[in-house]
Amino acid sequence: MDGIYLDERRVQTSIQNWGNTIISSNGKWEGNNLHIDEIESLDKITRLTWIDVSFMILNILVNQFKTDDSLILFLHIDLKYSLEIMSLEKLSLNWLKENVSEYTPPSLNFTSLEYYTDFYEKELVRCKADTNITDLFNSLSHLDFFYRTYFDEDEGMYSREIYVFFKK
Amino acid sequence: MNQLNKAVQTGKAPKGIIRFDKGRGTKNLPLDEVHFKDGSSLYRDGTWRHNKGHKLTNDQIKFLKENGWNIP
Repeated sequence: MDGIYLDERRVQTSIQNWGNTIISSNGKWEGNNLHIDEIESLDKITRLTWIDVSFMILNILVNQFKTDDSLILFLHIDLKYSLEIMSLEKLSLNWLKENVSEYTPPSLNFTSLEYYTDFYEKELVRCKADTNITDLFNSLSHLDFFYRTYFDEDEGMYSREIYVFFKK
Repeated sequence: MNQLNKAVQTGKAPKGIIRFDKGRGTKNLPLDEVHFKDGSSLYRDGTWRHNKGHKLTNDQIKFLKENGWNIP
């Protein structure tokens, strides 16, 4: 991630403001997401750095961000469509950079523990992350990597996504 | 979504539209979404995800309607 500079204070403030709107909703959780290009100071970010910057932000958050215990933070990464179904045993950094969507930047999300258990854990397929990803994080044991793929009739190709959940 | 995003990239979509995101049918990413240059974004069903006072232009309304969007 050499050469990438994050204005950490502005990024944290922007994310904290977003997080506060979720946490202060009197326990009522609603769908939410924040694309990384919607974070203050990152509106000009390009696809070439989406993955590096996403992991840099996630690393800041897992170490410093304070959330309600009933909410789980996760990173969602849209991948390019594929003509072949995806079977992923180990996720590597280079593969992710090559296959990230051409159009949609990764997004930060919160989900409730209940929705995580009832939906995401059942719907998604767990995968491992290569050390070139896990070495980027200080709190490795808290991250769970998943993927999902399905045939998209509209596109005539397989849709593919990566999910990285941070659990306390 | 790919076709719509290609239209944006090739200048065939109206000005002010910067991209289309695929909805995932989850609570977090429920519906297809169009993003505008001013930071606003609109779900396919015509509800705003982020409305920063965006006023849809006639060209945007026409293009979105033609591609299955409800207009608020």
